[in-house]
Amino acid sequence: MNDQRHDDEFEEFLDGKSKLTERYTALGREEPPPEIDARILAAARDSAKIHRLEFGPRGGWLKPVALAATVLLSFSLVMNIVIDMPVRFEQVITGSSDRPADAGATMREEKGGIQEPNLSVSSSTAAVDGADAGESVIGRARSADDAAALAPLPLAEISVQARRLAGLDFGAAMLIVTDYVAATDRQRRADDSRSFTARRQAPAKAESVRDRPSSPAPAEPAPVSTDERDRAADPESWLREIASLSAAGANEAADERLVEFLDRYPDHPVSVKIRGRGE
Amino acid sequence: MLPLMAEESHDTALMVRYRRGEVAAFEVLYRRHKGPVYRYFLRQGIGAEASAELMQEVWMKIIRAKDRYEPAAQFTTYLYRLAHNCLVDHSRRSGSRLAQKAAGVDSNVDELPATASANPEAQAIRDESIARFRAALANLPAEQRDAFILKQEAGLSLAEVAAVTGVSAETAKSRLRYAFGRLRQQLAEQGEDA
Repeated sequence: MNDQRHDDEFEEFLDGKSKLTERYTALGREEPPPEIDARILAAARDSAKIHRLEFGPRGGWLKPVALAATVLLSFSLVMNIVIDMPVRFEQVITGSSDRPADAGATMREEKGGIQEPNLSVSSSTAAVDGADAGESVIGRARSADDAAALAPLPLAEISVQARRLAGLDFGAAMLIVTDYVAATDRQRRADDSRSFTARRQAPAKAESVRDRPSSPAPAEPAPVSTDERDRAADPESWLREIASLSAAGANEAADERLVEFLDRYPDHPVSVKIRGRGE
Repeated sequence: MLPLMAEESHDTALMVRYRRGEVAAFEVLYRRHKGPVYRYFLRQGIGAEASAELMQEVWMKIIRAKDRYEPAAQFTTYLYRLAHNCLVDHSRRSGSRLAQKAAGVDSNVDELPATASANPEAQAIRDESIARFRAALANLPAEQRDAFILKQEAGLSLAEVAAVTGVSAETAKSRLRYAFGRLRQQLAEQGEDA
């Protein structure tokens, strides 16, 4: 009976109709100090201000711009690394390796990776990073049953496109070549002028020598073809030919000749300057 | 900024609007709940200063976490769960069970603003009655007092009290029943009608 009454009163309490509820309400309605209110509302305003800066109509550009800047920076970084790689690439293809077969195998892989600069980078890196890495690259090539594929590729197969991908700026390179050829020509003309003056100032000497038995005159050098110049390996003539091809508008031929020149004369000042500039 | 319409003045909607950056929505929300939250701490017998600090802590948490707020539950449940957690942390820090000290009750009485009354004698009787109820409340076990205050001050339902305190509805009901019984018993022993 007593329990039943207690339950009923408890149910009344749950419904908010108990005397205990009245007693509780009589405790008062204290409020927090105003300074706490001010602090909390100020914090809420600051937080909303930051929110508006990040997402609001006027500040909505912040996140996309930050994202774009990050992507651009990452891309530039990656490209910088890729551009930096061809120096090692150059070392591989110009035969600095003691194992031409290795370079050939690397270049064979390179053939498939020409459209993918990253592939060429990884392959060339593997070829340069010591014997182990080289072995792994070659090991994959040897797994192919075509033994002939292991033979070194001729350097001519490294196309102009591959060079372009490797970061060579042909425009700048041509300027270097043209400048070099012009400077060489100027030097040559100056030398010719000096020798002519010297010949004119020494006629007497020439008279005294006339009585002596004459030695056979040096034969004029016969005109040589381009292939002959190649065989003669005269870098100056080669560069002159490249400059003249470029001046005539045969840019592709000039580019190809330039690539061959770079491969043939990696230590020539022009090659060094081009590599330092573009590669 | 759009004015706060009646249908948008629901707590959850206000919080969502504040999440979108509307400070006015937060101000409405804060003014609506600041008193009950403050008194939730104050009635635990932890003193006015500590109550204000804890209340500030709760609201700062709400402000900081506004971007993560999901209107899955009632805002009041969310609010008092934070308050309950702050209270538990506070009791752990202070190393004592919640308001087990009778002295705290007296200090709270001292901190109360004096109510003006035409009849000082009646006022004194009334103040004494309030003090006795406050003492009875402070003598409750912490969990029972917490459930009782959540029910009385925040107006939470049984299910909400259970959700806030992290217990089953049955446990919450049991705590409330014990709190109700003890308060009545204590007040009856002091000759009070409850």
